[in-house]
Formats: sequence, structure tokens, C-alpha cells
Amino acid sequence: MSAPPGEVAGAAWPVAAAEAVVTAVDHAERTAEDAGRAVVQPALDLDDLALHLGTAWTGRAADAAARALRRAAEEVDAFSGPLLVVADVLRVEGSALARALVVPGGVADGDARELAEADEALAGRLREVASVLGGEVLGAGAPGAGAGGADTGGLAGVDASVLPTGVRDRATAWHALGPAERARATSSLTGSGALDGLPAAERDVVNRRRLDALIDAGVRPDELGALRAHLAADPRRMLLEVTDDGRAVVADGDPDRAARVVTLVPGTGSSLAAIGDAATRAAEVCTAASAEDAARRDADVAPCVGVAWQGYDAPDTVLEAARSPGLASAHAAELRGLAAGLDAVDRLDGTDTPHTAVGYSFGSVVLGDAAAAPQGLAVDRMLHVGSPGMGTATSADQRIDEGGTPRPVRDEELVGLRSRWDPVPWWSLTGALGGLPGETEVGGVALAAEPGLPPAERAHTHSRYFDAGTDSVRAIGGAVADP
Amino acid sequence: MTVGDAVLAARVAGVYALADGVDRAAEGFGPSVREAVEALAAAGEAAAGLGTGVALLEVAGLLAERLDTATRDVRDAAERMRGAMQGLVDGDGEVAAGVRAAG
Repeated sequence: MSAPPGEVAGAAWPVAAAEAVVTAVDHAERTAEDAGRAVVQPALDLDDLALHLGTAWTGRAADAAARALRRAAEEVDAFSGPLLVVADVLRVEGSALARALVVPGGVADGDARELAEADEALAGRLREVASVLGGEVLGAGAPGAGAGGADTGGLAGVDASVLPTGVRDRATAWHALGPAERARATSSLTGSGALDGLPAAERDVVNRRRLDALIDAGVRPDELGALRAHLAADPRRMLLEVTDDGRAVVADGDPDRAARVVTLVPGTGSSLAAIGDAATRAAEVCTAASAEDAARRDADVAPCVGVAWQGYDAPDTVLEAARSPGLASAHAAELRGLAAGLDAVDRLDGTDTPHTAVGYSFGSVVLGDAAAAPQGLAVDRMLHVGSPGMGTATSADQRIDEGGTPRPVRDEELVGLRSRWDPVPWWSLTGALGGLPGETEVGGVALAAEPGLPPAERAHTHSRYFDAGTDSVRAIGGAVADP
Repeated sequence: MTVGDAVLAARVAGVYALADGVDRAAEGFGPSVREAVEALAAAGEAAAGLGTGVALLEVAGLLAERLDTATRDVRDAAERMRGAMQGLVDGDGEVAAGVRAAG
């Protein structure tokens, strides 16, 4: 039970003790999230084993063994929802508690009410989880779990139709839900973009189950198999989106816990089967930005998460792209939805993590199209690298979504980087794909930096902007670190 | 050994392999959940004196109970499979018939 405001005395929470609480809560948040994600694959494996048992053994005893396996799979799977809700509330309500607790000189009388309120808010959310955990069946209704799960804690039935369709409102509404309500709603959240506004860890869990089901159904085995292998190579990777037409978005960590997010939109020739290339480039941008941070501030490097956005069907060549500009706009709304969702979830804990979108090659057109919509794109900076054009003629048609309010992009928020040896940007002269950011008549800022290739390799300049150690990736990192 | 015996032996080995897979699944979730339980309990202890501390300890305790149950049920499922195959070896006709009929 929470202490009354008068009992939360300043002397009880000197700075060191308060910081110890914050550190412990932060660690608990991270481990709860890790565990909430880690149980998914063993649960899927147990389900698969139950399925395969029939190939070696049949009869009453075999049926009973298969039922025991499925029940065990449900029990394991059912840890996920409560653990992820715990992580979510520790991040959001825990941040408010941290702000109320860690006060220079310790909590004084004037701060006691704020502390009591923050404490009660977090404790209340945790008790909600406890009421579900204390039910007859753990984590009722989790995707994959039976329909007969517990409805404990007085939680009313919720389905996705009652969730707001706007991404920002959905983020707020989702955060207010408890584990049982989330489990029920999640099973109805289908279709591309339906998970925008949910915490990244929960998106990851839902999408991994989707990926497993798609692969089991024989959908796009090469591409989705490559995606699964990419995810398996690093357990920190999060699957933020996956569709049955071969598109996906993968983060190399948890964007909700990052101090900086970089989303890379790849260009011509990119595909799900090669999503590792986009992920590597996003990671190189993060590495360069972190190095720039360290050099400028001589301080701890801000954890940066790279996001590979393979959310569109990329053309194979720039020529094809010029003939089919609709390829860029076809899924631009989904890039906007992803960015708005990340921003909305991020802001729930009172922070605003800088988010830079990097459009590379034809990805620059996709990025520009996303920012050309009236609602704008919820990022802090847009970088166009090796761009053939940004989809619009000038920066006047580019907008930033500032916490749900669109505004024109500022010059310093729109950056173009190109090499004089790269032929792709010359496409902008045709006007087919829009203007080049940084050109005087277009607007924005131009960065001049070369990958620095020897003359014999300059023909490959377009594909080398993000190579580790190049001047170009250092310049990109500097621009990302700037905000 | 007849062909039928060879098929039977292969299927029995298959069930044992599936039981090993169940054990691996247990190893895949147990340690991570246990670590989360311990971290939640540690946070609860650090926040002693706050309602949050009490609630964290409650959540950690309930998760620990559920973890014990789930771990036992997963292990039991594996043992049920191994036990049945051992029964077949010891002459359980029903299990033997079930294995022969599979595939």
C-alpha cells in the first residue's frame, strides 16, 4: 500500500537512495521486456512439437501427451503479456516516479505530493498486472492462448474496434489497457500499420507470431526465411512490421528505450531478402552519430537504435523508379504511421527522443513523399543521401509532424548529401522525382562529403556512402548528432 | 530386425527427440523469466516504503509461482512422452499400437 503524502518525507529519500530505486526499476524494466519477448519462441516451439508428435505416435496416450504440450505452450506464452505490460508501465509511470524521486538535495516537503501521486500511479498499474497473474489462468487470451482465459481484476472485454484509429490516440488508449485487455485487443489488430502506436516490444512479439504463421503457411519462403534468419542472428532485433506481401520493418534494438533513433529507407534493388544491408547502413549511421557525440561532448554515448524500413516494394533500377514514381508513394503513409507511432509511444514517458529518417537513393523519394502529406512526418531531421530527388520540387512542400501538429520543415531539418562522382542525383535534373535537398532553389542544407574512394572505384560511389570510416558516413553521423 | 521393427524404433527415437526438444524449450524460457523475477524483486526491495515497492514484490512473487508451475508442467510433458516410450519397451501394447499406427 502506498504511503500517504505526508509520510513520503524528504529524509526518507536522499539522492543516493532515490537513484538506487531508479536504477533498480530501470533494470527490472529491461529484464521484464527481455523475458516477455524471450518466451515467445519456446512457446511456439512447444506448439510445433505437439503438432509433430502425431507423426510418431497416435492413440489416446499420444493425444493426452499432445494436450499436455499445448497446455504447457499456453502457460509459457502467457508470461509474455504481463511481463511486457510491466515493462511498459515501468518505462512510462516509472519515469514519472523517477522525476519525482530524484530531486537535487533529496525529496523535500514540497515534492512529497508529486512523489505520492507518481508512486500511486505506478503501484496501481502493477497491482492491475498482479490481479491478472493471480487469476486461475495466467495471461488470459494472449494470442495463441485459448479463449477460455481468465477475466480477472474486473477487466471488461475489449476488442480492437474500440481502439482509436489515430496513431497517437491509439498509443494513449493502448497504454491505459491492462494485460488481459491488451491480449484480447491484439488478436484483432491485423493489417499493415495496425500496430503503430503500440510499444516496440509488443509489436515485436505480435509480429514474430505473424512471421511464424506466414512461414508455416508457405508464404514467400525465401524472403520471410531470410527475415527470420536476420532476426535470429541478434536477439536484440525487433520486428516492428511484417506483411504477407513481403515487406518488413526491423529495429536493431528497442526504439522506445533509445536515446536516438535512425530510420533508414533503402533504395533501388533493396528487398526483404537483403534487409541486412539496410540494417547495416542504419547501424553505421548510428555508430557514426555516436562517435560524433563522443567527440563533441566527451560524455557517455547516447544509445542509438537503427531501424531498417523495408516497408515498400523497391524498384530494381532508377530508370524503373523514374517510370513508376507511384512505387514511392504507395507505402509512404506507412512510413508516416511508423514514425508517428514511435513518437507517440516515446512521448508517453515525458521524453522526446530525436529521430532522424535517412532516405537513401530511391528511398529519398519515399521519405520525401511521406513528408509531403498534410500531416507531415514525425521526425526531427530528414537526410537524403544519394538522392535522385525528394519527391517534391521544393522544401515548401515538406512538413514535420511535431507531436501531432504539422508545420513546414526548417532548412536545417532537411539535409542532402551527395558525391560529385555519384550519377544518381543527376536524375533530379529531369524533375521526374523532385528536387535535390540542399540546392538553392529547393531548400534545405547541402552536405559535401565523399566516400573517398580511389579513382578506380569511384564508379561504385553510390553504394559506398555508408561504409565505415568514410568521410561521407562521418558527415551523416554529424548531421544525425546535431539535433 | 524386421522392417516393421525398424520403423517402430525410428518412431520411438523420434518421440525421444521431441521430448528433448521440450527440455530445450524449458531452457529457453525459464532463465529469462527467472532473471526478470529477480530484477522485479530487487526493484521492489529498493523501493521499500513506496506502494510501488510492495506492488513489485507482489508481481515478482506471483510470477515466480507461475514460473514454477510452468516449468514443472513442461518437464512433466517431456517425461510423459519418455515414460510412454519406456512403457512400449516394457511391453505396453496400446502405446506400441499407437506408434505403429502413426505416420
